[in-house]
This record gives sequence, C-alpha cells and structure tokens, in this order.
Amino acid sequence: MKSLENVLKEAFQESKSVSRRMLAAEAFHWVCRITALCSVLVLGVLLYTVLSKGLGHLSWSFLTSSPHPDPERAGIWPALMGTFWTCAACGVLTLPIGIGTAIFLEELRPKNRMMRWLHALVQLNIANLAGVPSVVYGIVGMAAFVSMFGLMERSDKEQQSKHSIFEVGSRYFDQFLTVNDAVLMVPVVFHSSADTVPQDGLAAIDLNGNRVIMKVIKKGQSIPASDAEKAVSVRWTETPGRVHKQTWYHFAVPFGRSVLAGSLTLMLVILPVVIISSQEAFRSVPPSLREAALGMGATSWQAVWNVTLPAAVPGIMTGSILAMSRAIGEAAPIMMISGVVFITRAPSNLMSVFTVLSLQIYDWAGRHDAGFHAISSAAIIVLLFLLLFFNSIAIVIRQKFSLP
Amino acid sequence: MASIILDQSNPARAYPPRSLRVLYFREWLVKFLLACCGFLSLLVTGSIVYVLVNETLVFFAKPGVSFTDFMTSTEWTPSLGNEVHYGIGALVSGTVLVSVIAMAIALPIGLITAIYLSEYAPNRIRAVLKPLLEILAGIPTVVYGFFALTVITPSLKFLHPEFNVYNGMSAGIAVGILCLPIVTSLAEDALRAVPRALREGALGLGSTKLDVTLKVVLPAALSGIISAFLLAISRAVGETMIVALASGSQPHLTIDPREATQTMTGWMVQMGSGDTSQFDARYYSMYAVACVLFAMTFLLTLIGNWVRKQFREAYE
Repeated sequence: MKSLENVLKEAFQESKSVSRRMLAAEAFHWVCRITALCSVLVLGVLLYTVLSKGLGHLSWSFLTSSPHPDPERAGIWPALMGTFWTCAACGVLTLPIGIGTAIFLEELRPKNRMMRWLHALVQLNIANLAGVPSVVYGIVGMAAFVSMFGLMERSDKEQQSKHSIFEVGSRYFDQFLTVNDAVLMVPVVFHSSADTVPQDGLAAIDLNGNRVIMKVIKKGQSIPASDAEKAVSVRWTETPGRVHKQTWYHFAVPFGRSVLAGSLTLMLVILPVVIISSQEAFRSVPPSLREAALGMGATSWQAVWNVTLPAAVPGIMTGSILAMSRAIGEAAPIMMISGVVFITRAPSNLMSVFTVLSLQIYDWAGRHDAGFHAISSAAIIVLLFLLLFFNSIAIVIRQKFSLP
Repeated sequence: MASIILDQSNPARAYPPRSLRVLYFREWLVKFLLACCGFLSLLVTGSIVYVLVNETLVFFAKPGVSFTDFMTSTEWTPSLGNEVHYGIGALVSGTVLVSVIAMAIALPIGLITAIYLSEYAPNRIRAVLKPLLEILAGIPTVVYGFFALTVITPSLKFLHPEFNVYNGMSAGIAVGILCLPIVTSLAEDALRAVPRALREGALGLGSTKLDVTLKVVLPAALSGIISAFLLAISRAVGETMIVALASGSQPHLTIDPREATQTMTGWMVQMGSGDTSQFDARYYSMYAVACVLFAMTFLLTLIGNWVRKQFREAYE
C-alpha cells in the first residue's frame, strides 16, 4: 500500500507532466502550422518571381516569332508548335495502349496458371517502369527510335547526312541557278542519288511550279537575249544543291531526331502513369455492374466495352490528362532525342526536327544574359498556363461525369 | 452461357451457330490484342535492359576504359588528354550530395505537412492546402531549375558569399521542393488509412493529440511513410533538369555543398544534348552511367515494394 503522502506526490508530479505534455502538444500544433505554411510560401515566391520577371515580355509577337540571338526579338512559336505536335502524337499513341493494358490487367482475369503468372509479371513490371528516371527513357528512346538500334550508324559516318531505309511523302530536287539568278529544280529519285549534270532538254520546275525544259549554255556560247529564255538557261559549269520538299504525311525509317521519335519516347515516360491511373478507374467501377452484364450472357469483352469502359471513362480521362500534362513539362527525354538546337520553323510533319517549350526554357534559363532569363520566365508563364488549362479540363471532367 | 444454346444431344447443333463463332473469334482476337498491350510493357523493360547493357559493353571495350577504374576511381576526367579517368564515384558523390540535401528538406517538411493535413488541419485549410500542393507537384522540373538558378542561388550567395554560381546546395533545395508534394501526398494517404478507432482508443486513455500522432498513428502508418520516402529518394536520384541547370558541370568527389558538382543525370544530359561525337568513349560513358542510375532506382523501387508488403498493418 502506498502511503497517502506518496499518492499525493505522484498526483502532483503527474499534473506537472500533464501540463508539460499539453504544452508539447500545443507546440507541435504550431510547428505543423508553420511547416505547412512553408510550402505555400515557396509556391508564392516561385509564382511571384516568374510573373514579375516574365509578364512584361509576354506579347503576341513573343508567341508568334522564332528564337533569335537577341532576346528582345526572340519568340516561342516553333517550341510551342513542337509541344503541340509531340504531345498530340504522344496522346494518340499512348491512350489505346495504356487503356488496353489496364483492361488486360483489371478486367480479363485469366484462369490458367501460365497466364496468371504473366499477369503478375506485367503488374510488377509496370510498378517498376513507373520508377525509372525519365532521362533513362530518353537515352533508350535515342537508341530505339532515333537510330533504330544502329540502322543509321552506317550513314552517320559519312558526313552526317540522314539516310533513310524507307521513305514516303518526300521529293528531292537538284537546284540550279539560271543566268538571271532564278532557280530551276530538277527532280531526283533518292536523297542519295548522284548530282544531276546539266543537260539540254532536262525536265525541270521553276519557282512558280511551272514545268519547263532546261537549256544549257555551253562553253563559248552567248547568253540568250530574251527573259523567257534566260529563265531556263543554266551555265554548263553550274553545280546543283540538293533540296527536298515534304508533304504533311512525310514518313521515314529510321525516325531520326524527329517529332515521332520524341513522342514515342514521351509515350514510354507516361505509359506507366496512364496504365496505373486507368487501372484505378476500372477498379472503382462497382462490381455489380460488371456482374449484371456477365449474368445476362455478355462475354467478358462485351461487358468491358458496353458497361465497364463507359463507366470508367471519367477516371481514365482525368488520369490521362494529368499524364499528358506531365508530358508537356517533361524536358530531359526530349533533350536526349532532339538536343538543344536552334530551330526557327514549326514542325510540318512527324519527321520534322523540333524543339519543345520546356527545352526552350532550359536553353534560355541556362544563359548568363538577364534578358534571356526574362524571356525564359515569359515562356514559363505560357507553359504554366497550358498546364493550368489541361488541369482544369481534368477537373471539369471529374466534376461532370463522376459516378454518383 | 453458351451451353444453353449448344445442344450436345443433337449432332447438327454440336457446333455453335455462325454468329456465335464470329463472336468467339472476336473475343479471342480482342483478348489477344489486349495481351499484346500488356506484353508491350515487358518489351519496354526488355529494350531498356538490352540498350543499357549493350552500349555499356561497347563503352568498356573502348581503349583507355576499364571496369576497375570505373568502379574504384574517384575521378571523372574524360576530357583531360593523358589523365583520363572514368570513376563513377565522382558522379555518384554529386548525386548523393544533392539527394541528401533534398531529402533533408523534403522528408521532415513533407511528413509534418502530411501529419498536419491528416490530423490537425480543419477542413477549410485542407481545401486550400491540398490543391496548392497539387499545383506544386504539377510544376515542370525545368521551372524549378530556373527557380534554383534565379532565386535560390542568389539568396544563398547573399547569405554566404562563398557559394559558387553553380552549387550543389541550390540544386538540392530545388529538388527538395520538388519532392515535397510527393512525400506529403503519399504520407498523408498512409496516415489517413489508419482507422479512427485507434485514435479514439488512445485519446480515450488520456493521450494528448501529440501522443496519438507520434505513438499510435505514425507507427501504424510506418510502412506507407517509408515507401513514400523511398519513392521521393528515387525521384531525387533521377531528377535531371534542376541539376543540369543549377549544379554545374564539374564532377568531383566532394561533400562541400558550396562548390559546383555534377550528378549522374547531369552528365547524361551534357552528353546527350551537346555535340560530342557519337563514337567517342565519352559519349558511350553515358550509357554506363545510365546503367548505374537504372540499377539504383530499380533497387529503391524493389525495396519500397518489399517494405510495403512486409510491414503493412492490415486493420480489417
């Protein structure tokens, strides 16, 4: 038995420790509040910096002009278009494959052991792929898509000229200078064809697209007097320059440092994200819907196509749009594919060389000139605005179509 | 379901009618295509491993490159004419330095913010703080790189003039900010998954809120929190654009955060973006570095999965 004195003593100490504990609890609450405030503060400083530096440089001409060595005249049009091209192609490629994989993993429950093992393997594999740094995807994309495991190596040794194994939608011309400094173009079959030798009677095209017949002025011959004849006459010493005209569907293998290679690489980066979020969307569809469909005699694919997939679409769309916004901001893998290059034209087809907005920001931010830092933050504002736009679409979809 | 239609006793109806056969075929085809999609992800992993291993072997076959030098040397000096060393140690030290600084910021702040969100914050504040963190998580990394270069580095130089223009500290802080929302959202999910009954039981026994949080909720959510930490570490190790912009390009073994340093990813970007010849040993060194990086992040993911499975507390 404790004596009364001891009990009282303990109670006294207890009350002291209680007040201490209460104090500690209150202190921790304040620590929490202040820490949580930190992240808000960081976001505030970040946005303030970007806006204060860049807002002044944001103008219509900034959006529609090309990069320039002078920051005051530089713009982001090629980069903006490059972002649109790559992300659109990336979305078109990623969505079917990502959703297909999610259906495979969630809806088709295999019965035999072999397939079940495959299932588990794919699932584990996707979890691992999600953790691979994007820059690693960049160099894998470079080996797999740009050079197609070394198919291009052969031509790289000879003068960097791009040599395609397969090509459609591109025509090559040899360009000749006529005596009155106009240009005649003689079509050639391949990019690697030998230079055309100027000859009388060669079929050619002038700058306006008219078909004309070339005339050669041989050594000692005089230059014709009439303008019409001058326009088709070429000196016999003239050497051609190789040019090409590409249609919008121009396609070549290997892909080279093209939009297509970039978007395939981005696909590798966001595919795990799309798969995992689509899987969650499928998992959140109530099982009763699926079971009702199966119970009425639907095959498993009919149940997926008519019942589960429509119910999962809002979730899939939200996840995919968030994945796409990651693709928009991703710079490291694109840098591996396209390099930091000075590009003044928007891409015109899937085989064009390109740059993207985030890469343009990287390029400008890395320079020492404060003028470039300013236009870099203007480009950041555009990029953040794009992301905001995408995210608000995701939010609208989530609000509008979510299941009750 | 088909057995209703199939009448086995009647030989004329032993086969499904044509429309059903079409249906079966379509079913088979769709399943095959979906399985192909699933297979594609295996193919991606396969090609990653193939490319990395293949090109790494090319690298080690180059003159002047040796595996022992790669593993043991602490100097990465590929551009010095006669003193060429490819010691991965120099690049790994850069990565470790940046990651440690980043984690020193992201882990405590992220965890405390998560605790605040899950245990303390009133709904009103939660409704503001959560979307703000989501915005922070959605900002592209190149923007953080810009932030590091134009805000963090000048502030560091203001506080302590010894800081280089490019330094590990600034990159580390930016990477930490990047990882903060990841830690917060994953740790918060783990904390929220702890059942209410546990909290109420502890409160009923006379605990303060702090006791409940630190002695009951936190241990119960530990597996989720640790795997959140591991994910954040692997993000920090693989982070590229921030270090490419802010940490400089001098690979050397250092623990001084004021100096310029180079990480593994920084080297890869320098080689990939620059005009290095595609047949140079320097260029192929990128693949060997990528191999090491891939192995590191793969290991972190595996450990994360293992921790989640091993230490999960199920309350059902």
